[in-house]
Amino acid sequence: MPRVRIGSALGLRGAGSFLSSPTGLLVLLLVAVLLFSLFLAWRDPLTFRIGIRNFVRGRRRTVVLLLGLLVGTAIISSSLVIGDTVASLSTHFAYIADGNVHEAVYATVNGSYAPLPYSFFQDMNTSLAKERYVQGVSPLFLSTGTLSGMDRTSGVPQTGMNLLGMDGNSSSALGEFTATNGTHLSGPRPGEVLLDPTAATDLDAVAGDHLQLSFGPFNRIDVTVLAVVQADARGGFQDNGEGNVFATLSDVGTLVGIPGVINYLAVTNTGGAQGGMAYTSTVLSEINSSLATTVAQFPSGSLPAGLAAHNILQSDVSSASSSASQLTTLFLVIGLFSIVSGSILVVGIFVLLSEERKGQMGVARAVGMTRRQLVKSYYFEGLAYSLGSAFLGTLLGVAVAYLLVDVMVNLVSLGSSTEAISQSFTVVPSSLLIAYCAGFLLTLLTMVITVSYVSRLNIVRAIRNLPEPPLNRRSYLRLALFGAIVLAIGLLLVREGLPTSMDISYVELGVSIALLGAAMVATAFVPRRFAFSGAAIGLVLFWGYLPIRTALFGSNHPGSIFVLFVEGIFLILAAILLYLFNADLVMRGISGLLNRNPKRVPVARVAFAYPYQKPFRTAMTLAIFAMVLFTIVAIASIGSGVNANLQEMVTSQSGGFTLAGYSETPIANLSGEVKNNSTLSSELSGVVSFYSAKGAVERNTSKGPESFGSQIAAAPVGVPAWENFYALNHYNFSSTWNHMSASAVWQSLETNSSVAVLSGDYSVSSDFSFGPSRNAVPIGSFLNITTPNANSRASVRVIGILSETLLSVILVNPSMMTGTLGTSSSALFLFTVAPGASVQSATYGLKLAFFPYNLQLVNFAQVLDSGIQFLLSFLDLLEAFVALGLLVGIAAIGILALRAVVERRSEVGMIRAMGFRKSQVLAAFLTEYSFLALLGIGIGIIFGLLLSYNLSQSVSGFISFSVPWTNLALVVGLSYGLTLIATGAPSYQASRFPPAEALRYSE
Amino acid sequence: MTKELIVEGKNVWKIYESEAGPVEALRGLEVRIHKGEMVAIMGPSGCGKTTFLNCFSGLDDLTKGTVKVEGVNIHAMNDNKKSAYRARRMGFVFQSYNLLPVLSAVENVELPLLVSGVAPKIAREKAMRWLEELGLKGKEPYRPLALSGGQQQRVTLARALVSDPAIVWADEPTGNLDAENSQQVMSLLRGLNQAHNQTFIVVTHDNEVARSCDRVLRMRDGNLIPPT
Repeated sequence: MPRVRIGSALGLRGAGSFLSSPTGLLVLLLVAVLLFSLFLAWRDPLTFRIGIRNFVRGRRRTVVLLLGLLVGTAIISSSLVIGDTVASLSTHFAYIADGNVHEAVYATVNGSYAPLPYSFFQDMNTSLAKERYVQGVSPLFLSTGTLSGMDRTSGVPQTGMNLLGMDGNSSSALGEFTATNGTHLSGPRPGEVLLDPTAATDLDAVAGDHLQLSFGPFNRIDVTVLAVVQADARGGFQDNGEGNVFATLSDVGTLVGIPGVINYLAVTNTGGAQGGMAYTSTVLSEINSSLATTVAQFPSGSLPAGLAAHNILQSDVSSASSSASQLTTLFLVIGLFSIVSGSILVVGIFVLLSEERKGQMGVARAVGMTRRQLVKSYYFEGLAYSLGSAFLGTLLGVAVAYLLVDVMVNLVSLGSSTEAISQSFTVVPSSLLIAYCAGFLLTLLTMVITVSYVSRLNIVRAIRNLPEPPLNRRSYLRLALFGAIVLAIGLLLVREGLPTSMDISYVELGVSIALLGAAMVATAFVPRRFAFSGAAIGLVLFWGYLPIRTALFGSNHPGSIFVLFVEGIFLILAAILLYLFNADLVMRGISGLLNRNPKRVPVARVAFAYPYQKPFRTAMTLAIFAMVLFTIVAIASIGSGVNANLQEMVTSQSGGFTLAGYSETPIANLSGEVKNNSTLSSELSGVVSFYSAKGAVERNTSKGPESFGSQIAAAPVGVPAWENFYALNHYNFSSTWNHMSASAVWQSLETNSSVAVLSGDYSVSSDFSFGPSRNAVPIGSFLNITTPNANSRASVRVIGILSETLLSVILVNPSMMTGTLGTSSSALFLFTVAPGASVQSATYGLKLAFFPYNLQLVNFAQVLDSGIQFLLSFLDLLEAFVALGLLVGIAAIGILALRAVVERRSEVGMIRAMGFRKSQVLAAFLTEYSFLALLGIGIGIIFGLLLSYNLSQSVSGFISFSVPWTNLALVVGLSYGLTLIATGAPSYQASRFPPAEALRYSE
Repeated sequence: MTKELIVEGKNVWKIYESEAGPVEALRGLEVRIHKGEMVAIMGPSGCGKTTFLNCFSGLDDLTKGTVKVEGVNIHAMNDNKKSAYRARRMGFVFQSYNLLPVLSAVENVELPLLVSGVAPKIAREKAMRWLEELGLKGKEPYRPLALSGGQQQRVTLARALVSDPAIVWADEPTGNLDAENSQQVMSLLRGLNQAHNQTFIVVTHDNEVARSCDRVLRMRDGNLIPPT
């Protein structure tokens, strides 16, 4: 079970900042509404009394309405609480990864920390020791992914581990280690190391084991494992999932061959990890001041360039919170469908209420009540409902979020994160405040708009319960005028958004509302059926047939996830318009089918007549069901598509190879050594050694020149078949220059020194934490490449971009690599495991043979599978979250059923009098609700699948279109089952009315 | 010639439970109505007229006694059989019409036939014929709320008569109509009664309506007043 944590405060400092924050504004608005309501009640106590009496009369109805109204608030509340939990979780990991390091002093060279003399630490320590907010300075040596080792006791090798050197006496500010058996340790002693659980598992090591550690092929030391320590803020420091090995600085000096070396000064503030962040800016300026003085004392060139103080913990916690905020946005956007459904339900509830009270309202108006007073009495009733439902909805949202986190902890395999997630369930009071205020205001606003509309009644028609007359010519002209305004707004959005970088959602929104506006204008000239059916078909084509949007806007216009919301809303609106304006044709079709079985005709006649003759209720129910099902099905189908594409993705990403290998130190003759190793040679059917080097790349873009670092590699030619990359690889190209064939591209790369092939990650822009960001590299671009050993700069044209994105490499011609770029050493490898051989065994064998070179191996299938499984788990969670929206659908149809029982009582009496059996009455009710629910479900499913299909077309290679049959069956079964449960009791009640009593009934 | 007995009630009691205690709505009624008769049930408000109609037509249960319709004790039937019997042999006309507002006039009229299992095409033809006979030609596709009160009551009549019932129960059939429409409706009822030899039992408090009937049964406090 997740442990509940209450956020420490509102997250706000001082009244001024609170009032200017979004939370403060919402609270101010709430208070203003309440004060305004009190004023209204004081001025007009009669309408206040009427409103409140309407609220409290009929306890059962009040409860049902509160339940119906609270769903929107519950969705908002749960989204925010999930965001709080994710923020808490992310910051939890940031606190662990950064330990107690608030600031640090270091310099980087080629992505690694540059060595510093120990005396630099001593001088900085002396200088900072007197500072009030500095608790301590710790000298460290940090090297990530560079350490390899072998447990001599278990015989298990491991590469790519993190080496962390420390001085036990000088690093006390970082805190103590806690061994897995609970004992506390200040740090390793000479000749001993501490392992975090990842390293211990990878090496199959326990306390007392002897290890051989290698840092490069020639530097090795033998050590003993003192203890395995917990991956907390001390033992999990800098952990990137590869395993931490903590050693003394003296052992590290021996291992790396530079006695007394450090490369990182960790500064810990007073006040603990969280409290100390408040002093970061003060301490940073103090460090900078000390740094300037200290650096000046060292001879020029004895310290690396770029030595600077860095904000560590505060910055990481802040970016973790920012990531969490993006996730909150995702949940909110996905939840928007349910929020809109909830709002439709609010409209529906108040329309039904006003229909129920139409006669009363007519009489009230007849005896002198003004329309404003009528609205006010509803306002007070709605105010009571809004206050109550927002409160209950906020609490329900917390419960829902708790349930989702609980499900995630218990059902989704998250490995070592499970415990952290379990303890991170967090509810920040300001989120509850936002949810309450937003839910309250949304409900009240929707209610006021609805009631203002429905209160425009004709007194005589209301009292005599007469139907509203059909729209006259003037009404159509008004509709056309309004349509012209809508059309203009739509076109304006398109005109303003298209040439700029405005989110494509707004442009597409513009097209959609322009279509609707055009339909409204058209009603002045053609029948409404044609106008709105035309607009609906236009919307379906625009959103459903991807080539139209691609032709209109291209495929590279910036967009956001909001587009999915807009797409869903308009597709569903189109389907509902199409149904409503052609319902007679649908009914004719259904009647034609049913007339073949006379026994079912009377039940069907009554059942289908109500949805046909009550278009508002029908549209409301269809919209709610369709929106919820749309999101569920779209997410399920995307997940299914990702899963179905896994094997294809593994093939495309791996190029037919099983493992990729990266060595810290070049390996001169890896394939020869493999051939001489009888075990490995039988397990591997292909070994490719690339000439490889880290290079610098320059490129001219439309925004000016840009440069970035990249791995440059070339596959040698004239090698045996099992080493020949050109013959072995099955990589696909996402694009080629001048539509060259794949074989022509490879042939050109083998022979032409002025061409290059890029891995797929270069086709999209990228932001790097180290160094400048890089724009997408288009096919046909020219790149200027240099490497550390280059004789001169090489200029190449990009003639192919691969679909694969894992290698992150620029492939060049081998002659040019060894000639112009002066590189003939190999640190990049690809391996194919022979059919029938074990991948695990081959990985073990390679690590064992090459661990001194720190050969790190990536299993393509495993990496892709674990990534996809995490994505699928996340999609499952989203699916469960949006499934909450089903509550809206069930509430909607349940309320309709309850209302129908009252409204149709005398009609039920009549059909019973003319011979309907009880079972036929029950069947008529259930058929009606089944029709509504199944039609809504059908619309949602069709468009959810359509969205998934379009997505698979626009991001081909990652998702293939797949229908999630199991999920569909489950969702349809659940939705329909809940519908039957919600409508079953009222329908049964209606069928059991004694006819004589029912006939006497009038509302 | 002895007339065939169509409705026979013996010692019919109906007692309702209310907050104020039991209410004896019918108190040991003895009633005999013959086939082809047009009978008016009259009496002041609350005397039990509508309860009479409900209990004798099988819409409501009895507390005590027996009611035989066409020689069959309808209260001994289960609900399904009672429903089927009503569909085949009875028609109903109510003061507030009780038409289904979501169905058109013709759909309302054909519904009893469809309940009885008549093929939709035949049901539609019969319904159209009855609407025409009652002067509603051209009004078939209209929904009830688009028709006047008199037209709605005629649709109700068509619905009651379309299945050629043995008995038509009418509860204040002219209660919502003006004098002219009332007269038209009663003329129709009388004409149909004579033309088809159907039994009409009309609950009313209108003397004009009662005058067009063969016989008047007067009620007071849940019982019949013996004829003077």
